[in-house]
Amino acid sequence: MTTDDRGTHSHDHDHPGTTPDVNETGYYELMAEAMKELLIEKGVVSADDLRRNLEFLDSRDPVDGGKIIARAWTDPDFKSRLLEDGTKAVEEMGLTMGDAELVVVENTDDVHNMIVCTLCSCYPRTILGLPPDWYKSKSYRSRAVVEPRSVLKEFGTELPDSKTVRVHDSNADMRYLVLPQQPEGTDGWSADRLAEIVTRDAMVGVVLPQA
Amino acid sequence: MNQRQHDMGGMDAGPIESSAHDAEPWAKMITSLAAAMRDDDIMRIDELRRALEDLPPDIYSQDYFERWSEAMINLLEEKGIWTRNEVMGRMDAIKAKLEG
Amino acid sequence: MTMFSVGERVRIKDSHPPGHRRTPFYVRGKTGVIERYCGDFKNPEELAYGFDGTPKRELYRVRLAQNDLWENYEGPASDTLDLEIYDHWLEKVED
Repeated sequence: MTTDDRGTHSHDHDHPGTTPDVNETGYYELMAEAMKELLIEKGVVSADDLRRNLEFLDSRDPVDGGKIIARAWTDPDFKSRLLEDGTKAVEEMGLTMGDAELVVVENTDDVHNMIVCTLCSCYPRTILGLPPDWYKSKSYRSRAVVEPRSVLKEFGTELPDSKTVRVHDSNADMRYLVLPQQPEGTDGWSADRLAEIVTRDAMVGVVLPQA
Repeated sequence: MNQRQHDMGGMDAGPIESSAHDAEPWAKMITSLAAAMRDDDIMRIDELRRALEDLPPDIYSQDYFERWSEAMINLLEEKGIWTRNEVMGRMDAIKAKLEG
Repeated sequence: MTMFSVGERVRIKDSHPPGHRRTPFYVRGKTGVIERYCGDFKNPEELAYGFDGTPKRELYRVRLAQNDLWENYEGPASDTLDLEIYDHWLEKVED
């Protein structure tokens, strides 16, 4: 395959291994490698900066989000600070929001929150890492705002009409994290144990945490 | 005043496929290059979004990191950092090296 | 003093200029209520073209009723949608 026959690039190719093999190396892998080489050679990006950014990305994990939620469940003062100013509160836990600010929205008996970004795929990456594929998909971006309850059902989440569904379109400078309700049957659990039941999808607001 | 391709709220679309799939190493590379250039104000996220929105529809509808790569090539060409031909040439060189 | 206050009814401009915009198509021309003031931020519509993004714009979260956004919305009347709108996209609504 030459680099200009993009049309033959298959999107359902097997996932390549880490050892470059020309038959396994896809068009966009080659492109990423070429971009990296040129940007470093031209002095636009330093190898150090690139390594730092790669390491930061690899260090991101939804587990950190789970720790935030579990602490909010077990520490009412922290919860107040988190809802008041999410950016500042997560700094206490060594987490940074970068250029954006964090808004934490709380699920209650009356309100369920869910997050989408219809314009691109804004997501609290500095906390949770890269968003899942479904969050970036046209299906989710198009439908979450117009038929959130149908979308929630596809994730197995059925909510009664007595509960308000509040969709947040993350379209500008804020990033969002849902503070779910602590599930029944988890009273007295430690923060560490609680953190384990908080999934990434629960913090986006498409599922509810299960004990 | 048509709804543009990236501005998807309310568009018709099919069911959500929620299978898990980790970003491949090259996708993380693209993300990290973008982050490094953002830190140095060489390429702002708003500029990258603009370049994404202006992609031809067949490219915009590709995988997220594929369209990021394409938009970065266009934007950095606009900024005089490289030309698309230069990137394509380097891809051919890397490929030739892999073929040994 | 900010231009708009929490609880105030506002209309999102029904405007369709070309270029990079952060106001989604589906809310243009719609009316909602200021949920909070988020702070002043550089204008992304300028940053996107290499300008410095000043003057900064006031950013608000606006809450809209889903029933006001979509015909035949699937859920109850209490369902809402919140999003962020820069001041230059907002207009006061005369009561």
